[in-house]
Amino acid sequence: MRGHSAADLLKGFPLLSPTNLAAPTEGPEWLVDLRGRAAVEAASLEAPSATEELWRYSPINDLNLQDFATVGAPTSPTLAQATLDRLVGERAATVVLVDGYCTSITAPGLPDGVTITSDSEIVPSNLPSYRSHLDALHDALTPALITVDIANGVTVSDPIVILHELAQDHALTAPWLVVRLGAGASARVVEIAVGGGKTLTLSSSQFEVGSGAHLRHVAVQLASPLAWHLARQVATVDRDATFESFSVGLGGAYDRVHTEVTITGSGGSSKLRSLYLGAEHQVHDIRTVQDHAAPHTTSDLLCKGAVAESATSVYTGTIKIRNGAIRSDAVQNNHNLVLGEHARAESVPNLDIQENDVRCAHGSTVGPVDEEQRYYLESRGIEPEVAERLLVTGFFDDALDQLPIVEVAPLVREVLSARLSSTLGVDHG
Amino acid sequence: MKRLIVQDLHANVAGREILHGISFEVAPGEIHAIMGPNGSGKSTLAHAIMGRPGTTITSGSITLDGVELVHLPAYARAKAGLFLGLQHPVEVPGVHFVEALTAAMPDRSTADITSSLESAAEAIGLNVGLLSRSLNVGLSGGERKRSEIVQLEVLRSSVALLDEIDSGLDVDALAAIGRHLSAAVSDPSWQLSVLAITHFRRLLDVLTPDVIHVLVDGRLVDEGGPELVSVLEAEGYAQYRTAAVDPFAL
Repeated sequence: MRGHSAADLLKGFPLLSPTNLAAPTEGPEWLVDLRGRAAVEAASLEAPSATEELWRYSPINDLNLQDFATVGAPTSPTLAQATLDRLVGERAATVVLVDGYCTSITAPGLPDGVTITSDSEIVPSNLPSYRSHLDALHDALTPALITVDIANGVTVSDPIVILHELAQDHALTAPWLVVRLGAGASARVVEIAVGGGKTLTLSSSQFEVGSGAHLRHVAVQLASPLAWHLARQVATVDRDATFESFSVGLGGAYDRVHTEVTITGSGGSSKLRSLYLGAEHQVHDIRTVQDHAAPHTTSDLLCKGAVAESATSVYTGTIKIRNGAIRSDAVQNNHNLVLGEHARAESVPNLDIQENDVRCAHGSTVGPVDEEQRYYLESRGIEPEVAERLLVTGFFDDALDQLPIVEVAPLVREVLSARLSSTLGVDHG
Repeated sequence: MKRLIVQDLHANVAGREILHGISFEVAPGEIHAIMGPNGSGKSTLAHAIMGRPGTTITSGSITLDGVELVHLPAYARAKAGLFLGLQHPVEVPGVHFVEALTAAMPDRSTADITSSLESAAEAIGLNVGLLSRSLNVGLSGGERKRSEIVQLEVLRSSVALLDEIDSGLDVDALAAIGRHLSAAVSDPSWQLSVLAITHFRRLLDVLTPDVIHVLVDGRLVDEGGPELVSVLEAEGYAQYRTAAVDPFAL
């Protein structure tokens, strides 16, 4: 194994004791190698700060890495089975990760041409350069890479479910998933994060959608309200391929989803949806990049959230249309309901258009529940709290109708409804 | 058997008094109409009785079956038996008819409410398929008015305040609604009371009022039986208006 001490990781954080961030040592040689290089990079990058655009409006300055420690070995999954039982329907494969370690891969009915493994010897291509200290820290600390490879022309009908269980209190977890679809392949991937304690998750999911392929992805974050959950999703979409991704953020003290989709092939398209509901002092932070790097590409984004009590949400989205990406069509919409006197929603659209012959539209709203709608419901005898819950649920309805993996809809609606009831102080039903 | 009694009602909107002391009574099974020119305060009266936020009652009393309503919020007045059919029913995306009415009547089952909704829609001539939509979303003006009456039918409120329920309806739809409301009024098990706000006689041709009240500049200035409609139609409201005093006329 390549030598690097935990102290190497901490140069960016000189105040840390070196005992809490021990890098895992197992895995294929390339991974051990990568961890070492990432650790060196982490040490050379500045610690994240809210003064950077990348972290603007976020509570990142409150992140104290000393509150967390890496986990040496996984415990047995406990929440995983209960969560899986709530997911009705058949699954093509189920991968369970506990604190980032893969504890099981069950794939009873996978068609030929599909490989799911946690110990791939193949070094992933397209390794991103580290723009943030935490990105490098993720690679330095990740216990395993889960790869899902689907060969050219293969269709996997049932969903592939990746369950991230955050088990140990104060664990720093760095799960890593790469999904690659060959030309003309089709698959549906669900990621669910569940956990009960104060944990820090730095997760990385990468998607490579080959030409003419179709990948549908849903990520549901149900971590505890104490958790810090920072997810990075990076996708490349090739010629005539389609990538649909839907993120649901309900848990977490700090829930961040950074999604970056680059359409690299002509005729490629992406459809991004995200939904969040915040209460108490939660912060939901959604960053998106719709990057058009080829002509005749389309991207469509809808991000809807509600913040109650003292919760905050941040939406920052960039549409980038590169030189040469003619006839590109990009849509970006962010709508926010502000339900509490102390709640706050920031919405920041950015456009970076380097081509003339394109279509680009964006819209953003921030405001309370519509008073006319509320009065209408109340004039039917509906109590104000119930009316508000109906209106907030209704606000999410059009987005929920677009969940690209319908099997997840009952779970998402159930947890959303339960959260709305507890947030808005009404019994369900 | 609920009697609506409004006594010396004063109400403000945006700090300006719009209603200057309104009094009338509607007995169970009676149909009353409020007629008046534009801007006379007709809609404000409906909203003051229903309890719309922003319409502030500064003095006076509204009782239903002896229960004082002026300090109650809108939903509590609705629970007490009031229904307001709005002039412009709003679209409520994502909230379905059945869902809303189940929330309004938590003691009744969804199946029961669904079947009540469907039979009311058939009786009133509203396409039953529209009931699977979100409230009023994509409905035409006329369909929205019919949807208000469908909801009234399911809620079986004691007193229906209907704010220009006739606008946007064709003759046949108006006749269907008139017949339906008349039946609810004379139904001994319901004895619906109606307070209909309208500009036009065409509603009153299909829903014969017991009493017509004339509202001008925030005051009830006259009342009469159905015969008053023809007088108002012929002469308008000018007779009720006090001549404006021109301060420069001296």
